[in-house]
Amino acid sequence: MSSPETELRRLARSLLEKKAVDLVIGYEKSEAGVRPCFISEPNEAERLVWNPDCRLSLVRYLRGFKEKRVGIIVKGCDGRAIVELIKENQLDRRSTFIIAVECNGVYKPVKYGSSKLGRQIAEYCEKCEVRISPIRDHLIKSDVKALERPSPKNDGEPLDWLSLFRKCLRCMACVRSCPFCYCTECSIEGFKPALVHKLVDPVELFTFHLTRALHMAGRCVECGACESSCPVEIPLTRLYHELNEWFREKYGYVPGVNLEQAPPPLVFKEGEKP
Amino acid sequence: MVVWKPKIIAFTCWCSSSGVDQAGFEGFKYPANVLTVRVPCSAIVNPSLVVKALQEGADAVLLTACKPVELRKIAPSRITEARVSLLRRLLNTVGVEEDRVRILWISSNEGGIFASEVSRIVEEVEKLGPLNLRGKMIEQP
Repeated sequence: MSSPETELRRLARSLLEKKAVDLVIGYEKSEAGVRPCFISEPNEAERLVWNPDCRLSLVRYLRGFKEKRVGIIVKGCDGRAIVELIKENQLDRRSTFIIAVECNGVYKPVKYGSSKLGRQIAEYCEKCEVRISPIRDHLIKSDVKALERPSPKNDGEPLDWLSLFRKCLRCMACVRSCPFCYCTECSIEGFKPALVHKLVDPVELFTFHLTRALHMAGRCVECGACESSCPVEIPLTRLYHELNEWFREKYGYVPGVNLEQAPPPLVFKEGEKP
Repeated sequence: MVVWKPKIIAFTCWCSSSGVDQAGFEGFKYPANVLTVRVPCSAIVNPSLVVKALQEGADAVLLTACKPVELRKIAPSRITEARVSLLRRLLNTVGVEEDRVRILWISSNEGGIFASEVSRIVEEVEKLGPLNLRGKMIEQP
């Protein structure tokens, strides 16, 4: 059996040769690991790679190519993000060719200057239950054995969130990397007077993070894009996971798993009273 | 020494704000540390504004809403209730007491209930103590 990487390249080449898609979004090798790449020529398909460094969510780029037919390489969490975006009428399913790759978890980003040996799997991947995208046109199974998973830590130890928020630099990398932050007018920056200013009042970080958490509640697919792009390593996924738990307890809703199930805030049953 | 008194912001919906007026007409006394903000409906209150109120120095935020059973077909108060419950969960996670955000069901003729409930809430917030979010966020460890 060929490795997932070879299969991926072969598939991307044949899709581009048959003109089934105009563009394939995938990962290519770079100095720091991998970076996203956009392939439109069949003989460029050799640039594609697949390894546990591919932690970035590519779904963010899909909305930039609304006029084109796009092939995209997705992990389980990215597939869930696509499902949620289709429900929110942000994506057209027919113009997207979804290449699902079986994911065994991704590595934490390497800190500058530290060695690449003995790298750990990311914390959000330990909790992950959806390894293959629930929505797909083609499935590539990976034959590599699952990455070394440490025994599931009990995340009962509460974090000191206020001191974590204090570290925040307001670089907005979490907003820019998130597949769900697609509003053209962000409510954090768009209000007049602004909800959060881009000045240095630390107390506004509280409002910023709580607002963002409230906007992600019931939508976050825990792909960890915000967490891995954060320069000060705030474990944001854990905060959003807590709110997803609330949705699971109250409505039995898990974001991105079922295309038919509408998000609970959009559903209203007549006669429903608390 | 300045005696600390809790500062409470109450977002009152159109109907329940006339309930608050009722408390005034009928001469019920309730603590003066509740500042009311009149909004068209409780479901219009963005939870970010509740967080913003806490950030700006409020010790507790109160939302008064119509009882869902009194509404005819749809119940916007249900949305408010869900939001408040979500916000309380979030505040609990980040380490702020969840009792600082509350919802109160007030109809337009329930001035007496508003006065007694608010007095009770002010007492409870006094027990919780000042929130002092600014101090907590600025202080260096």
